[in-house]
Amino acid sequence: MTQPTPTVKVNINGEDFAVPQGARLIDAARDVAGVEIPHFCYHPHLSVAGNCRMCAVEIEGQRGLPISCNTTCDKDGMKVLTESDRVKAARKSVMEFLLVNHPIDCPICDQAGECKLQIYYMDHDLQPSRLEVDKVHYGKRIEIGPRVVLDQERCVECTRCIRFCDEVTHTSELRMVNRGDHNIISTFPGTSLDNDYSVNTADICPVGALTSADFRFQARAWFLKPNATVCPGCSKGCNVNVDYYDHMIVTDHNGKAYRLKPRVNEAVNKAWMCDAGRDEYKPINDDRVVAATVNGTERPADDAAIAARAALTKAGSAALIVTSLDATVEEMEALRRLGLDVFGAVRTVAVAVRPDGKADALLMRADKHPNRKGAEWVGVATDRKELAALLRGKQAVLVHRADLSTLDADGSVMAAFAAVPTRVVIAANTSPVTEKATHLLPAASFIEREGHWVNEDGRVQRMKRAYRARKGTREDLAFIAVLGGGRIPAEARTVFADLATVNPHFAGLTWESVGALGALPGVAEGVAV
Amino acid sequence: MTKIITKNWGVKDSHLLSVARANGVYSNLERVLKTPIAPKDVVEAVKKSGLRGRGGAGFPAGMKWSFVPQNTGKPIYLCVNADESEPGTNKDREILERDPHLMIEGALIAAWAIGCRTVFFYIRGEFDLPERRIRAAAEEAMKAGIVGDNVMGSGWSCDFIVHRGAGAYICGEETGLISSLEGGRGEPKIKPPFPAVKGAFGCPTVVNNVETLCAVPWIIEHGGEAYAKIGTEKSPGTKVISVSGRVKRPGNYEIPLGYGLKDLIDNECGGMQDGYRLKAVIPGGSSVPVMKPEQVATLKLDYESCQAHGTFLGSAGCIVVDHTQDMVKLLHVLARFYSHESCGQCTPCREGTGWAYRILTKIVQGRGTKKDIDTLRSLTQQMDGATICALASALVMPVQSFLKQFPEEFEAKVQETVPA
Repeated sequence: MTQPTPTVKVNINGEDFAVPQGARLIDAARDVAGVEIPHFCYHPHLSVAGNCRMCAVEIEGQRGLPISCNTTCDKDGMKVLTESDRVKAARKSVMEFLLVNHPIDCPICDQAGECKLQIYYMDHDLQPSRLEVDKVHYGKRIEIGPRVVLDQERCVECTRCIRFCDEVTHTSELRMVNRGDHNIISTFPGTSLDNDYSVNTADICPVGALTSADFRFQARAWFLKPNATVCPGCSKGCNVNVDYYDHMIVTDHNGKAYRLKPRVNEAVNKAWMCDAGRDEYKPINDDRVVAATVNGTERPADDAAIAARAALTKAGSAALIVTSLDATVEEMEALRRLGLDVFGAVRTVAVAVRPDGKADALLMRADKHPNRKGAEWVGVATDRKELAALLRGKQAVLVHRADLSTLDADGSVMAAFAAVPTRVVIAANTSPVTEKATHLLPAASFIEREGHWVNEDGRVQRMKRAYRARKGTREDLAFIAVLGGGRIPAEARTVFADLATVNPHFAGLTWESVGALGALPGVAEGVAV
Repeated sequence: MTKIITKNWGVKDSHLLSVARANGVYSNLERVLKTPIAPKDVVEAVKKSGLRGRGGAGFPAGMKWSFVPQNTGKPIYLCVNADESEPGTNKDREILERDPHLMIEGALIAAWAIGCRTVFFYIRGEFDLPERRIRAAAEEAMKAGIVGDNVMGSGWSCDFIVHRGAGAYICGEETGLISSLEGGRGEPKIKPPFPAVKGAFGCPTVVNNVETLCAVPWIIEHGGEAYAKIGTEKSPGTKVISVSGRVKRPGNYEIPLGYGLKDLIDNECGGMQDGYRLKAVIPGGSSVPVMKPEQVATLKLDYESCQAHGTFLGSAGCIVVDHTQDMVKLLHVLARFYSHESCGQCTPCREGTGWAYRILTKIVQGRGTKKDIDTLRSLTQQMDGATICALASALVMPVQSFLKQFPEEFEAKVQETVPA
C-alpha cells in the first residue's frame, strides 16, 4: 500500500481546504478549491518560469503579490486571496501590459475563440487601450518549422514553447532572442522547429503566436466541438480530442473533423501527442467509401449487406474473416462470433495493415496499430505471413477495415484475395481491396462509431462517437449484425458487456467503469495484466 | 578619514603584486589561513562589523554568508559581482584598476569563510582595463601561489575564474549573473529557491559585490568592532561614492557612511563648476529617486538618512544635475537605458519600460499631451514590485520622483490635447 499523501490546510478565499503537501498553489486552487487562477506561462507539465505575472495572488503575511505558480503549499495556515481588489488590479495591469505591443488582430487570428488574451481580457481587463504611441513590430507568418507558423507580434513571451522543446523533446530548437519589448521567439540560425512533437508548441501557446500550419485558416475555434477519444496512430493510444464541426454546420456529412489535439491523461500521454498522429483526422474526411455496391452496382446499404450475408452463408465453412488491428475489440469479438456461431467454424483473423514505423522513448511506438493487444485478448491476432495461405481455396472472404494490399510485397495476398469468388469488404476508406470487392459495405470512421482499443500497456480505452456515420455509411457493427442475421448484437455496449462476461481479460469491466481515461482491467483486483 | 577600500590608490603601480604586497595586501589572507581563523569566526567578525552589501541592496554580508548550507555534498560557489553597470556608478571599475589584489584577497577570505573552492569573478563585458587588470592580478597571484592549489602553503586550495559578461546591466542582478555565468540568457531567476540554497549550477552560491569583499581584509585585520565604529550605527563602515556631473572634481571618494552629501560636493568635489548651479542630485545610481537642493542640504550618505529622504543609497553613484539640464530629457535617457536593459521576461517590465520610453520620446519631441503624463505616472505605478527582479522598479523610481519633483518641466513640454 502506498502512503496517502500528507495534506496541509490552506485557506483560499475564506474557506479551508486540505491540499496535498508540496502542491503548487495554482494547482491546489484549481484541483481542490475549484478556483481557477489565470495564467499564461505556467503549464503543469513544464517547469515554472514565473514571468507572465498573471497568477499573482495575495497571501497573508507576504510582501507584495507572490505568484501562485511558484508558491508551494508546505505548511498549514497559508491564507490566500485570489479575488481581492489588489489581485484584480494586478491582473488588469498585466493584461494592459500584454496588449501594449500585441497587434490585436483577432479577426484574422486562428487562435481567436481559444485565446487566453481574449478570455482574460473579458474576465480581468475590459478597458479601452491607453496606448498612444507606436507598437513594436516584428515578423509575421514565419514558417518556423514545417508544421508550425510563428507570429512574433502576437507572442506574450511566456516561453512555454521553449521549455517544451527543452524539457519534453530535449531538442531545444527554440530560444528567446533580443531583450525587453524586442524579445522574440526564434530558432538558431539555419535550423527550424522540426521535431516529432512540434505542433504541441502550438497547443500550449496561450495566444496566436504559434499556430498549426495544417489547421491554419481551416476552421473557427468557437464552432468546433471536442470529441474525447483515442489516437488511432499507434499502440501508445494517446488520449486526444478530435475537434469537429457538427451536423449544424456540415449538413451533408453529419460532421467534419478538423484536428486532433492531445487530451490530458497522466498515465498515457500526459498532455502531448506526436505530429504524425495529428494527421489521423484526414481519413475521417477524405477518400471515404460512401456507397454500398454489389458487383459494382450501387445498392442501398442494407440490401447490399443482406446480399453479402447470402453469399457468405453459401460458402459455409469455406470462408475466412479478416479484420485489422485497427478494429475495436467489440468488432473483433462480433466477427469472431459471426464466424463461429453463425457461419460455423469460420476463422476470424486480425492482421497488421501498416508497417512498423518510427519509435522513440516519448510517445511514438513502432507498432502503428491502436489495438494489437485487443486482438490478442480477443484471440484473433494473427501473423500477416499466414494470410495468403489462409485465403487460398476459400469460397468467400469477409474483409473488415483491412487493406490487404499493404505489407504485400510480392502481391501474393492480393492475388489470393482476388481468387476468392465472394469478396465482402467492410471499409471506411477506399483502397485496392475496396476496388476488388464483390460486396462493398461503407463503414464509419473512428469518430463515427464507438468501442474500445487496448493499448500496449493493456489499458482499455474508449473510442467515442462524435457524430452519426456519414450519409450512405453504417457503423461497422450494424453491418456485422445484418451479416449475422440478428444473432450478433449491433450495439458496442452489448458486445462489450458480453466480452466482460466470457473473456477473462475484460473481466470486471463495464462500459461505465472505463471512463474517459481508460481502465487497466484486473488492476483493481490486484491481478497482473 | 579612515581609508579602507581606497587606501592604496595613491601608490604608484598599486595594481602590481609586488606593490600590493608591500602595501600589506594578502597579509590578512595569510593570517586567516596560517593561524588559522576558523571560517565561522570569519563570518562572525563580518557579522559584527555590520558590513552591508555595497552593490546596492545593502544586505548584511555576514548574514548572507551564514545562509549557505554546509552539508549538501555539493560544491559551494562565490560569485564576485563586477558587473557594475548602473549609470553614475563607477567605483568597482576604479577598485579593479587600482587595487585588484585587495579584491582577490577579500574574495579568498570570503571563500574560506563560506567553504568555497571556486570563485567566479563575473566582470562586465565593457570593462576593458579592469578586466585586464584583474586577469593579470589573478595570473600573478597564481604564479605566486596565492590563488589556486595550496594557497600560501596552507594546504587549502581555491580557484579564481574570471568570466567576462557580454554587456548586460541585468547580469548585475545576482540571479541574472548566475544565469549568464551558467551560459544561459542573462535573466534573473524566480525565488525561491534562493542562490544560497540553489545558485550557480544548482549549487549553494554567494554573490558579493567587489567593494563589499574589499572591506573584508580590513575587518580581519582590525576586527569587526573597529569597522562598526566607523560610519553610523546602522550603516557602519566606509563607502566609495562616485560623483559625476558639473562639480569641480568629479570622481570616486571614500567617505565614512553618514557623511553629508552637501559636504561631499562642496569639500571633496570642490563645489559646482563656475557658472553652474545645483539643480538636483540622484544620490544612489540612476535608479533611485532624485533629490532637490534643499533635500541635498540635509541628506547624509547612509542607508537610513537616504530612506528618510525618500531615496536610496543604492550603489552610491551620485549624479549631480546642474541648472542647465532638462529633466525631461534626462528622464528620457534613463528610460531608454532601462527599456534597453530589461531582459524582457516579466510582462510589466518588458512592456512597461518600453511604453514609458516611447511616451517620453513623444514628450521630448513635443508631441506629448497631459494625458501622456498621467499614463506615464500610472503605468509605472503598475510596474512597481510586480516582477521577478527590481529592474522595473529601477525605472519606476526615477519616473515617479522626476514627475513629483519637477512637474512644471513636464507640463511645459506637453499640450492639452493631441496636436492636429
